[in-house]
Amino acid sequence: MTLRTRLDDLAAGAPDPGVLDLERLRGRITRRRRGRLAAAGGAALLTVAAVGTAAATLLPNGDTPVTPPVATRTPVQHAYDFGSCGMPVRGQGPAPAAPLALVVDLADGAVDATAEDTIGTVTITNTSDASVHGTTGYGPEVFVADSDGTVVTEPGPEAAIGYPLTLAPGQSTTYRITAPLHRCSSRRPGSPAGFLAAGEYQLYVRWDLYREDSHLWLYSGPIEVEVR
Amino acid sequence: MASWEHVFTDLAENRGRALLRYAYLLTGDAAEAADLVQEALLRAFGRTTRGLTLESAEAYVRRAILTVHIDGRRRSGRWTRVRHLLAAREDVSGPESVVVDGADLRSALATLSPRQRACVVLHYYEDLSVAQVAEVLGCGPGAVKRYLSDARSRLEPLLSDSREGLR
Repeated sequence: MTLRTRLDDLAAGAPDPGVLDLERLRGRITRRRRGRLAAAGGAALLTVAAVGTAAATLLPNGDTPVTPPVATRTPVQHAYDFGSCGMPVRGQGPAPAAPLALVVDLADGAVDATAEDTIGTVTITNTSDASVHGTTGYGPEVFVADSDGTVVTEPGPEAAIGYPLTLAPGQSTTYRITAPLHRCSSRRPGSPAGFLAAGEYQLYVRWDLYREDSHLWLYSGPIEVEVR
Repeated sequence: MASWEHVFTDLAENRGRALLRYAYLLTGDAAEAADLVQEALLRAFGRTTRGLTLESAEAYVRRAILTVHIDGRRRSGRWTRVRHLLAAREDVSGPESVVVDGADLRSALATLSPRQRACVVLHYYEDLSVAQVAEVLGCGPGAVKRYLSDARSRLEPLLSDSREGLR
């Protein structure tokens, strides 16, 4: 009996396809795609504004073939004021034009709040045709809001505060977003050990850079995430 | 229904069993195989999937299955918890030789590293050449040969009834 035959026999013990929860999986995929589109859409808008051209090739259109650029189809990325823990997230209108784009890429649309691991990345890209130099602020700051739009986590200590940063045109820098996601509010007393309770949340990312003559802010969100 | 959902449904219905068998051989655990396939489907379809066909989607999912499997950091905790259950099956007995062979092989596979095991599954079950396995794993053919050689040394006693057993 060859190893191939024995592996065939062993593979017969694999679970039946019925174990795949396709409906739940379809929902998670939909949420994840929506989050990616929202995040990348905001970045594309900044690109359009900064470069001054309708760079629609950057627009994620899902399964639809790219059509001639229409900048107005891009979701507008708003600026937010996150206040403090337990306060509602307040929209500040469209984010100002910037020579940098911020893209959030979550490894999974569902996050284990207690995992001591990277749950995604934040990438800052210079989308202008000139070098950008400055000193990083607090970011990337990750805020999580519950279904009511109330801030339930606050950014933890960041290692990337106050670092000089220079990005040449097209150059990027990437930061990691890490769990655990600690609950900062007592609104959900059922959640153990201070971690976020399982459920649907909205994730926001803010990043800032002090330039010689200005203070630049970038935002992304809301991105729907499922906390397990 | 978006086009990605058509491909997703088609893939799950028509290739779900094959994907689960592949994942099961890599993991040796039914529940973990199901988790692995679902994670891979999520990764594959969670991205923008313009122009994705059934064939390209399956290739993407298979690669994701392998990537997740070899990502030891993510899975090391669970692996440590179940490994002793898989490797200590010496009490398996019974008249059905297939059952005994399966248990022995499962135990032997459980002693392999994730990369060794992936090489065995890709080469002997998926019928990929050494060069193709190297490409899938992102390493050189020499490394694949070494992985296969090490794996063979562990599996050979199980197949001693046939010198051609590992061919």
